[in-house]
Amino acid sequence: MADAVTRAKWDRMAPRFDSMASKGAERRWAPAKRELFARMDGRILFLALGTGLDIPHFPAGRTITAIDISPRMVELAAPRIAAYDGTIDAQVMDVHDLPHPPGSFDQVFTSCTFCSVPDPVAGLKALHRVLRPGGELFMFEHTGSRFTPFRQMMDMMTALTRRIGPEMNRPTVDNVRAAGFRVRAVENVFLDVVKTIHAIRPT
Amino acid sequence: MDQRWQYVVGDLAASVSAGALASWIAWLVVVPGWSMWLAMFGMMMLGMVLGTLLFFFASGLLGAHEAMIPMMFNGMIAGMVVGMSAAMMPIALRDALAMGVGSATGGLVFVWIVNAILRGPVRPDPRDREGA
Repeated sequence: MADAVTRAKWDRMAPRFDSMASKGAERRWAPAKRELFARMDGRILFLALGTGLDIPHFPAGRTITAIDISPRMVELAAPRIAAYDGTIDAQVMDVHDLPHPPGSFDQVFTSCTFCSVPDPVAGLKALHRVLRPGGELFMFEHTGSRFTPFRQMMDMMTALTRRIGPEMNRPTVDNVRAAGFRVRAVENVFLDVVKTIHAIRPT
Repeated sequence: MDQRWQYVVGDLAASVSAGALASWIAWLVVVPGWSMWLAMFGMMMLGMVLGTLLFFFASGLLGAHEAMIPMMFNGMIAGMVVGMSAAMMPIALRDALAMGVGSATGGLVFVWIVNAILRGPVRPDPRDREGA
């Protein structure tokens, strides 16, 4: 059963989401996201769809299953889904409750998702299950920092931001390993905070 | 550092603004005779909060973490420098602002240098080797 608290939080956020996220962050992160999403190939699962801000960065002609926990977000993503030169099957779904059979996907992509998933290791384990052996996980995420004083600042911000949305200090690379993936590459986009992660489900 | 000119200029303007605001408030609050520790830690915290508040206005243009972290950091540094100076002796507002702007600019250069070191591929972790 979907996490009702998380769903309600993002439903409330949905009408303001584009004005909060699209203008600055999306423009700044666009080159790194385009480079990551250029690797989309095969049966693709994408999360979290949000209002579809990432869709313009997707390469054309792909068939993508995209999920989000918030029905309101998926509703608002409709125009961007319609404008995509490919196929996006958008579904309201909690990553903890993926109904897909094991090995359903060749690749999973996430975009600023695991700062907000309530139980990140359980969520990543769900992705591990639906990936085929040898399948790839590509993530664009922000995490905590290893370096003082940035680490302390992120910890303090998290006390504030977790009430409205994301946490700023998660050890996402370690969580990926804890879920059973083998990390192939990590590339820092800004400091050691904003990064891309490439991992595989071992065969 | 981000080499797109609008972000170089924008990040500099944002950090200088955070430094100027933090130094002005520290100049208003701290007077000679304050405990040096209180001036330092109190104005660091206040500067960080002010940097965070300014970030909410800058984020629409400059992004999320790329704007937030330098603005918090430079507000903190400027608040600390001016707070400690004002606790030691009377200082003119012009000098306080110059200290705040100067220390915030130095702080931004520090963030750019750290980012230049950290940005890019991360050295593989031994736990990720085949067979590990």
